[in-house]
Amino acid sequence: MATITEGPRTEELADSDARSALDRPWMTIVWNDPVNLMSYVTHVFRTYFGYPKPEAERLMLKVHNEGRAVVATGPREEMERHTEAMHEYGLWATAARSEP
Amino acid sequence: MSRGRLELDAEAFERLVVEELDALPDEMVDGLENVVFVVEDRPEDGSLDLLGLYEGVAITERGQYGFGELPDRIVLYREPLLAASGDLESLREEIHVTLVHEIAHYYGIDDAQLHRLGWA
Amino acid sequence: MIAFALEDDAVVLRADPRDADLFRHLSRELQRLLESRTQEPGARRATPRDPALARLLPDPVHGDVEASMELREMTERALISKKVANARLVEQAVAMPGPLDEDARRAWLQHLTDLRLVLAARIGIERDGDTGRGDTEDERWLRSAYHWLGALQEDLLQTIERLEERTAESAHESGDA
Repeated sequence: MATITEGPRTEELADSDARSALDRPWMTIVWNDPVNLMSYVTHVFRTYFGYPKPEAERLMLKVHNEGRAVVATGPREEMERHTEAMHEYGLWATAARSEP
Repeated sequence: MSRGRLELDAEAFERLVVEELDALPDEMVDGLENVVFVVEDRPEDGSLDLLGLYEGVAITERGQYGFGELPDRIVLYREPLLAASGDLESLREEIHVTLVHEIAHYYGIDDAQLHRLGWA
Repeated sequence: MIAFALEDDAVVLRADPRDADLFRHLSRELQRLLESRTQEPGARRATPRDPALARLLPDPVHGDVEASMELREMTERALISKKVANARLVEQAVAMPGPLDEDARRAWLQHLTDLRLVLAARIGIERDGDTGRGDTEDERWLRSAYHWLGALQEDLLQTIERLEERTAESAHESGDA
């Protein structure tokens, strides 16, 4: 019997097919922490993401009052990049699959 | 021609100091306990070099605060500050920076005695 | 003494050379902490055990431990490099105080945060409203430094805001012409 060996490339394709089939975007979450100044968090949201000041403040307050806020959604790699950027700023952030 | 020295009387100067104090971040002023801010014309030695002075004990040096001690004083010297500034804008900045400097003394951050704590 | 001032449409760092030693000390301690992480064996996948490092280098993926470890393995080193670069920039700036461009301002903001995160971890700040332990003289010093650096950061943010307002004003004025 002939056997078909799945090489890495075939696996990759299958994987990305599976992903796009599910097609759930990812998100970047910023979590509240006791250290960061509210003014600093607002500043980061404004300067890094480009949110206008009222929106940056709204998101900051959401983090502060509710414990977390979704600051971006999109492809996984992009959300991972944003998460790393948040860590450069000393914010506590995670990339996660969007809730269904 | 020279610009001439900036002139501002004690009352106007104090108003500026109050404004600059109010403009300081909450983080900076909230922690201050029993500190008075005072304006004087010049330091005791009559020099124009000293812009400000903190008279008190840094909070890092104290154990318990509050045994009926006199308030700490942060003094700003009007004439040296005027001499250090070309115009009103820069005077405001000098007042601002001097306040920050003296408040740092209160926090004990300017201690020459470095703490080699290996804290990090 | 470190302070920020607005001069000639630029944010300027004022630093007294004697007191600059203190800041250099803090920055170097942070660099050493970060460098110690790169020396840990098998370090780059697992969450750091040191709470200060764990806060500086958080788990990047939520709800998927394996994915988080993988991402950490790919990105942690670069993150550490950036933080160390910020610390070095600040060290240099304090030795030669002057105007701060946009990159320098960002480095200062980020570095001040990193210092505060480590200090907070060392004095047990865990929840909103915690002010930190002050049982020993050392802890009191750390606590004081923590609050002071927050004040300084706020001062820098306000100075930046004043710069932005001033820049917006003059842009507006020339735009009207």
